[in-house]
Amino acid sequence: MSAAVAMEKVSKSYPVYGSPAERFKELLALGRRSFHRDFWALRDVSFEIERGSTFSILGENGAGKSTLLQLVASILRPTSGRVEVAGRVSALLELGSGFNPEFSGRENVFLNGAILGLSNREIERRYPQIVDFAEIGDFINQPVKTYSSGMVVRLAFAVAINVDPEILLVDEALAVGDIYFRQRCMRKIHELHRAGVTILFVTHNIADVKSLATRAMWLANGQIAELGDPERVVSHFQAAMVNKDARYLREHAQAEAQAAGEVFASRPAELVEKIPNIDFRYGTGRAHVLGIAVMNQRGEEIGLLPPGETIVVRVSVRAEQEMPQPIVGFMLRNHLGVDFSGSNTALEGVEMPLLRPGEALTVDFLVALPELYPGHFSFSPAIANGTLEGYEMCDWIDNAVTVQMEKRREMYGYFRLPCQVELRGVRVVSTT
Amino acid sequence: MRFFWTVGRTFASNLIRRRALLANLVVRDFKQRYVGSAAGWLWAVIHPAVLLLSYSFVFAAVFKVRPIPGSGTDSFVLYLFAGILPWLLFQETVQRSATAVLDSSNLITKTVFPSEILPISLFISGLLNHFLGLAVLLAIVAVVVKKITAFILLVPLYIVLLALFTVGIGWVVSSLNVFLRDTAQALSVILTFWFWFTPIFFSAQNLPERVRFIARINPLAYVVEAYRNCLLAGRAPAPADLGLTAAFAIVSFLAGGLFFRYTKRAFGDVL
Repeated sequence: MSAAVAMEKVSKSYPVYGSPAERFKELLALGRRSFHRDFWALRDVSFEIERGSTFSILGENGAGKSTLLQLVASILRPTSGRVEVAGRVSALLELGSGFNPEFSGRENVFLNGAILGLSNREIERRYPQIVDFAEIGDFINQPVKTYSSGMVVRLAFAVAINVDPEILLVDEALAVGDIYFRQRCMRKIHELHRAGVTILFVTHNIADVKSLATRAMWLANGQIAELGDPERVVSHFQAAMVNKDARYLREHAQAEAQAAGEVFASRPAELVEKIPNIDFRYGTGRAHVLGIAVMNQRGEEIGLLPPGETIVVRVSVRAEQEMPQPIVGFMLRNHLGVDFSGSNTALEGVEMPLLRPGEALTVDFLVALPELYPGHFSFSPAIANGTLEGYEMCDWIDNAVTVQMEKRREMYGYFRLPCQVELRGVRVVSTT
Repeated sequence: MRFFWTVGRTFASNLIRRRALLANLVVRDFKQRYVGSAAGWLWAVIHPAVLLLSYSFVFAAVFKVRPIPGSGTDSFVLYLFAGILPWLLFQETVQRSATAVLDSSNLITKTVFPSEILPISLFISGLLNHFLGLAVLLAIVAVVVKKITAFILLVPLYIVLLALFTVGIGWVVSSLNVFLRDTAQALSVILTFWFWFTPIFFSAQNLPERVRFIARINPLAYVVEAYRNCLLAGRAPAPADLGLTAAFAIVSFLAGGLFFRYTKRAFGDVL
């Protein structure tokens, strides 16, 4: 058999009981009576994981990822279907959960190793490697309760990977720990992969999937949404998440949008009249923002920002009273709500026409995007009347559109400085 | 017979395979009880000693209770000591088993953990105290009574039977407590009754004829009686009693084991 893990039409339902006693009554009734409602965490899931491959599971919270790992670890039994696992399983379902805080790191290493099936002598032999990998120094002889959370995770991870697992289950364990440790874990996982260990991991980190997985599975509501090439699964998953986010924002903005949604008689072809979201809106009302759209250069709306490419931010406005000196602009904010960058027609030195009451105008900002870190960004459009030095804010909408910056390559910090590297030759330099 | 053999062998081979885990659990449990306390394991001696002295004061000094003739000693303290030792081992293991699975819920839901090992590790951990008590008792018997017979060699056999019986009950209560958290509370009540109805302060012969069945259907009564016979009186237990004790032990062990194995499947869902 080449499959290390095979699931065939596996479903798992959690019976929901009114009280623990009802659960027990049902257990004793041997299926003759039922005391519960069913919640289906997994439905009809079938897949195989080849020996030696690295398999990643993606999905939103509550999609059934952890349940799936627990089934593979045979902590849970499937309600129906078959789970076959061939090989010694080491599970990192919650790092350090098996540790007793009163005991020293050393004692916990031995207990955890024993749980994972090693004899004391085997643990003794691996002990130096474990301590070495965990890098917690003299703390190893201190009670675990004195450890920082990072130290606990490091030690638990060190034990789990040093017990020669044939199948390693990792449940978002790598989300904790500092960057340095994460990188070492990644390297170790690569190493285990090369050594032929079958790895099954759950993560929210898209980058991990792309860099580690040989295959990926996207779980949605307990069912397989997609299974296959990691790149493809990741991009579809990401797109779905962005759409969902936009839909959420839209639904919540609808009430306000209806109030503001007056029909405009003469509609120029390129007017956008969609405001996906209004967190907060203020201004004198002398003019209104009608809509905003973030598009690629072909004019298609996008939810993912392509780093390093040019995008179009389109803002449509309408004057309610006469606007002699209109300024149209936008502010780009990051996920923390910090003003990241912004611009407007006055700053860019664009001559604006006078707007009469009822007249609408669309402004396209062609923005050459720098390479930014992959996170959420929002655009806040505005229209004002006046000059940069003195103006009247007519309408400002906070966070009207939210988009996600796509991840193309590794990013250190907030954005990539345009940078060229030149080597100046190699020579021997004597140090004496 | 074949069935018993297969079950026994599977069980034994599993125990041997997980001996490292068992040893670690026992050591952990032993340390855990005394971690951070100045007197450490001395408490394991102080506790039963105080219990023994208090009971002896009330029964021997105040109520002038004497062991029945043929007990091998006139000292109520020794009589009580020999009888209470197996009871304490039983009570402690069962009481602690009740919360064992619940207390290890993180191990059970987050790692691949053989939870059936818990009551066994608790028994072994309690056994260490038990041996200490036995050693003290034997030392006193050697000095005061000056009579130790070969029948003490039967004590290990009774410890094995007690182990089977206790672990069986331990499995039932530890599993029950997962589903019904009242189990641990109800258990203290039951154990209190069980304690006073077991012939520890008295002999089965002291019981009026019509309630003597209490001692006959109580496996602990046979074990307590056997301890006294082997350690103090220098008498072999009646073969029929030994057979009955063994039957109780094996039934408890098998029934408890099957019950635990059956209910264990739901642990992951409940914990």
